[in-house]
Amino acid sequence: MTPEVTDDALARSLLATCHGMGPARLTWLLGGAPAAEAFESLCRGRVAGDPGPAPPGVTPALVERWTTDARRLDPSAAADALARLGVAVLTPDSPGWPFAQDPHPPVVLFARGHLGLLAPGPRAALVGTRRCSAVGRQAAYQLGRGLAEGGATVVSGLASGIDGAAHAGALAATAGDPAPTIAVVGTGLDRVYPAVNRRLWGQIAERALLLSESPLGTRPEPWRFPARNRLIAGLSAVTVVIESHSRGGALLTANEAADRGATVMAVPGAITSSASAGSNQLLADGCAPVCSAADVLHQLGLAPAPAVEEPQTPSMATDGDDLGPVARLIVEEAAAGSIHVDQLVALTGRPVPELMAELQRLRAMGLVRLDGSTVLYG
Amino acid sequence: MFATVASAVVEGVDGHPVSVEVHVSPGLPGYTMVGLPDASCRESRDRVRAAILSSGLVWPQKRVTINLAPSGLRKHGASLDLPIALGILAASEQIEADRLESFGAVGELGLDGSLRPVKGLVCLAGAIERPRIVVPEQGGAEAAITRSEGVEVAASLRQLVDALRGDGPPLSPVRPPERCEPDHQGGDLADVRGQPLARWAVEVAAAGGHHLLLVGPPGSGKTMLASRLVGLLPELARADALAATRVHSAAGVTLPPSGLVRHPPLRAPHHAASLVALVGGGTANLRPGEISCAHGGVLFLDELGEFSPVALDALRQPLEEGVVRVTRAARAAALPARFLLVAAMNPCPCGEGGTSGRCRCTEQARARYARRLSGPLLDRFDIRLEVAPPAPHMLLDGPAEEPSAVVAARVHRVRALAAERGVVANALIPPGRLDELAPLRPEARAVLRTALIAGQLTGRGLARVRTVARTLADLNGADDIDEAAVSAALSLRAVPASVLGVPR
Repeated sequence: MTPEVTDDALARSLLATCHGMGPARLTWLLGGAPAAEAFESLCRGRVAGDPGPAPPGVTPALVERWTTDARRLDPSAAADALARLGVAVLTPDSPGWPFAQDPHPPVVLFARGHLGLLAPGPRAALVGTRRCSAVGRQAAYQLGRGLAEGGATVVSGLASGIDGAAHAGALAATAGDPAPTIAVVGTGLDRVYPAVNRRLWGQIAERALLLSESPLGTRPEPWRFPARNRLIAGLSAVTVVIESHSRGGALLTANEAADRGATVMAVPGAITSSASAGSNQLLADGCAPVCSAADVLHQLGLAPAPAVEEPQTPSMATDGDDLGPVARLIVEEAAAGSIHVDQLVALTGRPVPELMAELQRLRAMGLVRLDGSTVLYG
Repeated sequence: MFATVASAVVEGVDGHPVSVEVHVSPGLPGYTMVGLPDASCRESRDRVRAAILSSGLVWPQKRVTINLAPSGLRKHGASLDLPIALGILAASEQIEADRLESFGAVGELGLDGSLRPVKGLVCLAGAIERPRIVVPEQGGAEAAITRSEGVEVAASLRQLVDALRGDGPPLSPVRPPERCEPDHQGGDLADVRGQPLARWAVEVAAAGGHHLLLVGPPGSGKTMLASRLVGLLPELARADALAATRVHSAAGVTLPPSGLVRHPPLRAPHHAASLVALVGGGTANLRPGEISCAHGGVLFLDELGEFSPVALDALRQPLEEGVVRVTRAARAAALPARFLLVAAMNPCPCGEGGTSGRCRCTEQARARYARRLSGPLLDRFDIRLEVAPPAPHMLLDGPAEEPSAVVAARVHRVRALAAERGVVANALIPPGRLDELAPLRPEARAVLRTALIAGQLTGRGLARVRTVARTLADLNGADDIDEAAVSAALSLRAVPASVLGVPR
């Protein structure tokens, strides 16, 4: 299913492996010439065509280093590695290139998984801090799942924290393939980072789509992550910041989205939580708040405006007649937020054994989950 | 010129008879000890010499050879001081050797000739194959537990020698101690307010002998609950009480005033405990570990996440078999270790992970914390409980809760039912007999089938849930296991996500 790597694409991927090669430098190096030509002339120690003024940081010494790097490269080995890992190489000439209108498009993109997810469609970015709170993580999971169920594709960065939870939610929304989620990562597609997300990484490569601007073998380097954020913003019509500290990559993504004229939304957080300081500031600056997946789906044109007064009461979704009054109370309390069994005893006045048995029945019906002795909805 | 005194040494929890042979012959004054004595045993020479001289007796200026038979068994500790001293006195004809034939002796000597108690007297007393034994005065009650007759006590070497020579009053025999009520351990369950689930879970754990995992933030009462649990357990049966007493004696744990460990013990080792301290062993001598000291009672591991993973995984085999087999290059021992494991841990290093949005830990820190607890160990907890701090108004104004005595009565009833089934507690029902002893109603079977299909339950989990359901049905006074019992048992088994390293 991996398309044949064209000479142009291969040359671009080779050039991208040179030391410190970002999209701006790569664009300059190509100078409008075909990539294969640019590669060959670099091997001969010259820059092809008429590149114009060099971008900041590109010194003759760096070009010298690129030349050394380029001469060491083995195009056929690189092509083999791409084929072995099932990595497709996309360039602006590829059909369905999603960055045609982007002010800072990538020069080359590496992809593993279902390329169909790049076709035009409603896409929303769910981004946030790695140092998230448990609430934020839960919100990310629920929004990821809700958006996927509502027909949108969830774009994020597969970092630990919010990103991972958003992907996990989207993957959980469907058992079929492809799962509607795109992970744009900052490392090479053969370098799992962060390691805690190894399983998620594999699932996304198999069931959804992994994208990276960095060639195979690229280790995590700090400058690549902000660059990756612009791709997340560029792929999405809406960018939702779930939790962000007062400074952080998620705010950079929001800025990139705003620069591209995309909608930026934010999830309100507790004023006492430093993990929500940045996202709350976005709200203060005038971003629309996100209180449920429906808010985002509406923005994407996938759902009518959600009714504000009536947050979904889950017991309405189920047939209320089947449940006794105690069970209905349990489900309602769980849906309003988590509740501990001790609190249920205080609320209902029922003995513990009876409540525990009732909880198992509701669990089997898929209405509640048990996290230890805490009852959660869903 | 030759004398033999019967004595014993303890290894693990078993006493091994040792015969102390002393030979005193003319020649250059010297002292040789053979028969695998360890350092503390070898040092007896100086203690014995000083004690004999302090007692106004004579140290023979001859060649003294001591053999500790059987010579293949390693001897450790100071418990052979007294038999060595008696042997030297008999071999140097200061007391008559045939007087020593009918009795054995155990005890450590002070330099002033006083007798001091030694560890493991319960195990030692039973191992000495003589009609009478002499032990230090403070150890009389302990020795009398395994020997109802023929235990005599002496306060000093001089007193013993005088009695043997007929110069002083005969030694006084020790009677088995009067039964006295054990102190109530660990406070009353009535103190636990506003935590109905935790109270109930503790009752179920005590009634069925189910291992209990408590997860909760600091100050939520985990330690309080665990210490109450032991007060709910029934007194130990005679055989278990003896086994527990032997272990405590061998480990040097202070025995109750009555001498016999009747009440289930509570052992709470600190989380810095080493593997050997927990499961037993040691290079110098085989000492019972904390899990053996908890035999018949409760092993409480507070801060489970801080124990070394190696030590925790070593608990798995004893949890299955009720016995820990400690094997060293030179020797092996099987020590009793049937205990109710109660473990408490915080949901994460900062302790606040149970409350949404309060946790300050990084994901890595949480994952690292949870990794300490291996899946197989987690699987052995039949009841996983998340303890929430009680609501403030319940602490001050809540209704009075049932005291331990009332709950204990129910627990004892369930334990009695288990005894009728031939097991100590329902948790020990072997999987093969579940169909016979814990028959399921069809609805209950359907609930279990659903849980199995949904992946909530493994094969082992299924058997464990059935034993918990048996306990719940017993508490309700039901013969068959109905849907409610199985459902509640499944709910008690729900794993807190924090334990798996995933924030909720």
